[in-house]
Amino acid sequence: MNSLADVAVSDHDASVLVEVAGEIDLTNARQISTTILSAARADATTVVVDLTQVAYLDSAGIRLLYRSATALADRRQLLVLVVPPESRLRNLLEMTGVLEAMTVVSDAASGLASP
Amino acid sequence: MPRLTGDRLWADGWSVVWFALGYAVLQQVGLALLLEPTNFAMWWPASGLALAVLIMNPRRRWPQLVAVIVAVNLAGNLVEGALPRIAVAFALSNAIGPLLGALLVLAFLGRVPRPDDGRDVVVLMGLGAGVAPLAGSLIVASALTINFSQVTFVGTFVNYWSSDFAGAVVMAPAVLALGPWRVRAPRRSRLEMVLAVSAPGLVAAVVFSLNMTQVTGLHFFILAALLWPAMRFGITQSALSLVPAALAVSIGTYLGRGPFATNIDVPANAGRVTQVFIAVLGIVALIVSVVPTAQRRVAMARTARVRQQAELRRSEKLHQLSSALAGATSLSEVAGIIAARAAAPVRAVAAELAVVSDSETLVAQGLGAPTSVVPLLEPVANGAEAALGRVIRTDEAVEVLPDEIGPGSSAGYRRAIHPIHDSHGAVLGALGFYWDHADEAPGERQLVQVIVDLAGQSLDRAKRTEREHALAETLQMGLLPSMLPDHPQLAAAARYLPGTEGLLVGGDWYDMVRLADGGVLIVVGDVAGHGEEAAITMGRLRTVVQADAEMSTAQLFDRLNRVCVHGGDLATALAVRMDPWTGRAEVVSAGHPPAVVAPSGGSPYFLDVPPNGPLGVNGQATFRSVEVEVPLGSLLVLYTDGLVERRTESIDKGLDRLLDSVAMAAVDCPEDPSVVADRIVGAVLSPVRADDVALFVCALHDHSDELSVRMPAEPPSVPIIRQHLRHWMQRQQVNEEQTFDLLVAAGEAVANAAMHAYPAGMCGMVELTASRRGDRIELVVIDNGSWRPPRQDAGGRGLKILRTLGPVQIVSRPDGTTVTITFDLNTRTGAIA
Repeated sequence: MNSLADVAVSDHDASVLVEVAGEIDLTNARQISTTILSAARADATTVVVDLTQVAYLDSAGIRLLYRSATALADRRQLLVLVVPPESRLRNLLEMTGVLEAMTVVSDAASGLASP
Repeated sequence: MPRLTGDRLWADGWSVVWFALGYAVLQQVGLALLLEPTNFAMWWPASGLALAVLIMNPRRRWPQLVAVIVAVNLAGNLVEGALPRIAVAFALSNAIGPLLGALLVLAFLGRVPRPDDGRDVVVLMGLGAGVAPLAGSLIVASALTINFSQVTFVGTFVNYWSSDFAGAVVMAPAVLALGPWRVRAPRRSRLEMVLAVSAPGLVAAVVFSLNMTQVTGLHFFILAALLWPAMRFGITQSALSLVPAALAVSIGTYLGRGPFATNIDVPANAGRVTQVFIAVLGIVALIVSVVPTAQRRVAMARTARVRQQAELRRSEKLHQLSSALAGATSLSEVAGIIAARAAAPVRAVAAELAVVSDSETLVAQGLGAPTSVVPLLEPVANGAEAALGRVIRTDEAVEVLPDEIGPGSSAGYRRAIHPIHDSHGAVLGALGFYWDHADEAPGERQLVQVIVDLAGQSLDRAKRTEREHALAETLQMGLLPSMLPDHPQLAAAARYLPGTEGLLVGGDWYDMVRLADGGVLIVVGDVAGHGEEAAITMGRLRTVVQADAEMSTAQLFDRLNRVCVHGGDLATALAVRMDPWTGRAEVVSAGHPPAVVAPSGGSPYFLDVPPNGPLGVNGQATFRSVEVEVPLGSLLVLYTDGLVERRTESIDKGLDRLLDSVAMAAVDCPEDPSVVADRIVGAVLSPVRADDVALFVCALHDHSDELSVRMPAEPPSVPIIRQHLRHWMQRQQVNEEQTFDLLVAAGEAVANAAMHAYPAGMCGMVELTASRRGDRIELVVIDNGSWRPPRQDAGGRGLKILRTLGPVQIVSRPDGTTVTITFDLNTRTGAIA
């Protein structure tokens, strides 16, 4: 079975970019969370998680995002989500309060540019 | 059988001494019974002893024996006060007579006379007792006539000859009866034998103790009494009975009693009558007994032949047992053969076998002869399993005689149970024999042991083979998929059957991979050869199939080909890459037998594919595939050649048989590929096969607007169920937004079942059904567990998401939960509100 999601990590000055492609559900949420947290170098101020290529996300994914944000905040690091305006995830993220509670940008470039 | 040589009896120096003593005693008997005043001898028993002993002994011993005769005669006559030259004449006479007799008899017959041959007996009497003494009588008569004027030559000659004749006729057979003429008596009581042997003597004693004034015919009763030992027993007893009779007759006459003493005034007259009578007794006894003795010999020979034939038959049965065992491979087969055939060689009515297998005790029972006594077996056999078990535990043979078996057992029933050992002496089981007769046949014990040993070797071998087989099968199974992936649009079943002959692990394999586009890839292959090499190659090929399943089949076969070329292996394979929703398929074959398609309600046919060579022949080879359409609702059957090939017939016959069996199974049970696979195996597969067999049966569901997926309620099932739903919605042409919403809704419901429906450690099932009626889509998720109260952050959010996606109905039953989500494609534009 091919893995549900691919995760790519890249460093950009004070930011770390984590690109997730595929599906996030209960089977891989914990693993992706671990990947995000371990990708966040101590000297990085921002962790940008790009959800543009995510085709599926459910409550397990939402929980992953909240947990990651909380953990990063404890380390004085900011979680920025990249969700394009036309993304199918948007409604779900809005309904679950993610859009309100977190920093959400439309594309990766603006995410990396944020302070 | 009579012993035809006296070698053993006369083997040492003592035998000569015994002869000398015997001769001296008989000489004294003869001398004591001389009738006065002319020293008339009624019979001369010593001559009979000498004749018999000479005949019985090899010629190299004759000088010693003749010397004994001469010496004893000289001594005896000199002590009696005879003139030395007369003593010499007597000694010569008494030595030459028997010597000549023995020479004549042996020369004429070429053997020691046989007691059961009338001619031999007549020759013994005629030449040995009759002709030979003429020479001795001549010498004595001459010597006496020369020395004593009152002696007449003729009278003396006749007198001496007839006394020698009577002595030889009576004594020689009696002596032979103790040696080479000792014929085994028929089975009669010992008492009767003693009475029969002594009867003539007793009658003679009575008759010849009477005082008579005239001749009576009473002495003929002795002849009548002689018939008893002669007819009821034989020549041995008859000859022995003669001696006391002759003694009684001669002693009676000597004492002036009995019928012949009436003319004792002329001793020679009484003597001559007595001589004749004793000789008649001897002749009658021998002639009368030789016929029954010969008959008995024939009967005994027949018995021996019958026994020999029985033995031959038995050894033939033993041979049948051992050759049947040589052909048997499985433990149960060996046990069955032993139980069915072990009884016959030992003439038992039944055999019963218990075998200790790795986990259990197998018991097999068999009747030795189908004609015998099934009811007789039952009560014994019922208790016998326990008896077999006891023998296995104690490792000691048990023999039970009829009276120990107890009530309910038939008289004459007998059984023996022996432990069976392997080559290391470990107990493999126990083998019981049951006889309906009490008597143990000669050699039976040894034969039973031979059979028990044979059983041990066969069972040992079968157990080893079976263990190796099981190991190989386990190994092979480990290399094959333990479970086929689920697909909502098809049901699949596969069978792997190792070869029954020889070794063991084969190279046949199958696999099914679910593809990202909702299709499946089915591959069946056959690596040439057997054993670990083939199994390893097969493992490699499977890995490639798993890794490169998404490629086109032609590309995939390029990869497989390269693996085979690289490893120097040869393999055939057939792959079907299929969209089970439409039946469109891409098929490629590398030298593999064609797949069978059985459309619902139609006749099965072979899938035509472009011919390609096998894998592993040429690294540059390309593999052409073909697009086909497998009608929905069809059965698709893939297999390896072991299924259809039999050594003795063309493969076409096997292929025909396969088509027939698929047609039958398709009519009977088209829905269940597992049953279809078993039917095909049952109908087509040869019970004895050198090759292993892989069989893959796939039942393609009919096209329908309904999706139904049932999987274990575990997290790994969740994305798979979602994927099936995604493919289904694509076919329903649901737009992407709506698809996403429905996927999330279904995903939450299924995840909830997977996470919460069953307590840890308990595995249940979760089922998703999606159906469409017009523009309404209904998703139903059913589990048989119970949702735990959702926690606030996890289940709570999931439920909340679920509820926002559309009208959701959650029904909790005691035995599970049903979540129903209805979705209107028209009113919903995909926006979660």
